[in-house]
Amino acid sequence: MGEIAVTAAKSIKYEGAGTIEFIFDNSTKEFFFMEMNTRLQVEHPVTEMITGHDFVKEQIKVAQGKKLSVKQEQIEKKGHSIEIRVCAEDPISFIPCPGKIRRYRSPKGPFIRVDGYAYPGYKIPIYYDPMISKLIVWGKDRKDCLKVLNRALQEYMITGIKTNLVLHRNIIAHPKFKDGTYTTQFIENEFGERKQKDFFMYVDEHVFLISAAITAYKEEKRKDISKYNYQSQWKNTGRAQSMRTQ
Amino acid sequence: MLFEAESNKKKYTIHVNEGVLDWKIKIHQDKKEPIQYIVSKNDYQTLDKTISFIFKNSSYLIDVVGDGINYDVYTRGSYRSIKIFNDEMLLHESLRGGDSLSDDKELKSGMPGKILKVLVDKGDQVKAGEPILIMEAMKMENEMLATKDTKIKAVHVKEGQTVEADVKLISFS
Repeated sequence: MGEIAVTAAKSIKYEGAGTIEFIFDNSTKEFFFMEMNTRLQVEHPVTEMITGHDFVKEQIKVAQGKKLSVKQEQIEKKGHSIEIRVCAEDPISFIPCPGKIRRYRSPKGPFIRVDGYAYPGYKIPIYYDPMISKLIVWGKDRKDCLKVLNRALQEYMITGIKTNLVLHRNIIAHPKFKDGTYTTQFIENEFGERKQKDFFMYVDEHVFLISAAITAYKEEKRKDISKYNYQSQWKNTGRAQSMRTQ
Repeated sequence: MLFEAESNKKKYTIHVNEGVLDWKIKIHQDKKEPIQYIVSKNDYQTLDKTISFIFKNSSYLIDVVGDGINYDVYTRGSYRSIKIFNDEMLLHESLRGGDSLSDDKELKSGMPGKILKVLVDKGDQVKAGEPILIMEAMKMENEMLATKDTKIKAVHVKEGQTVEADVKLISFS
């Protein structure tokens, strides 16, 4: 695939960073050309994670007319990496859900990278696609990598808007995803009739109810003015008046 | 304090009792046995406006956004919209019941976006399935279709205008 990509780029005398996409059939071991992009792709961190090179830097260098800092022979692959796109969308209906982020806590720790620019109070604009950030993880093999990803997804906290974090958790927990036998129809076939109940299995239903009820209780308490012992001034004035002798 | 709650199309009655050291919460779902939880205030704390809740030996960081009736609860990448009424509010709701703000009288924006095209004018007759408006949000164009045969009563937006979610776009007669 690499050779064919190089031949393709050379045949059009292409210079600069480019990405050629193929689709690979694991059963017949055939691959097919899909498209070429004249830039790095959104998935480039995956390659950066397994090679340890900064491709954005290299892309800029080449654009300046400089040479690449490494040769193909010097590039070594190590381990496995997965990237997920964190999007502001309803995980059930896939409808974009722009709005204001209330709480934001991104996962941290070894082999976790978050590319994004979101923070508490950040308003997701309506003009672009709903991607909030990219979460990229690394592991010594795919199994290890999925473990790291699962923990990172658990730690990722975004509130105030709907996100697809829970969809990703469901995907990586799916046996077909785990054993790698999924196809491009995976979501359609496996999550076609997905329901909130199955999707939100990571949270006990009563956790939602208890926290909402306690919050509502506190809100009611706050609004209850009887405890402040407010008295109408009209009443006091009236009393004072009635005590006056004419 | 007694609350009526509605979550995921299920109805609940919830009793909240605040003690010095704990919360006593009784959840009663239709026809099911009520369940009582005693939640220690050590296990339910609000830190930096986020709720830290240890429930059945599991730790949850929860954010609740509420306006007095509608509460959105976010935790672990999941969320739930819960309606909560206390007695007084229930009364208000039942009084409002007669007034039907039916959806087929107007078209509202489902999400914030920009109006690309308005395909109808005031007074136009439209058939079910006919496009009436094209809206752009998040790099996607959405065609809004008429749900039934009707007449356009008023157009509330102009082409090129950006709108927030839940804004009245078009009224039907």
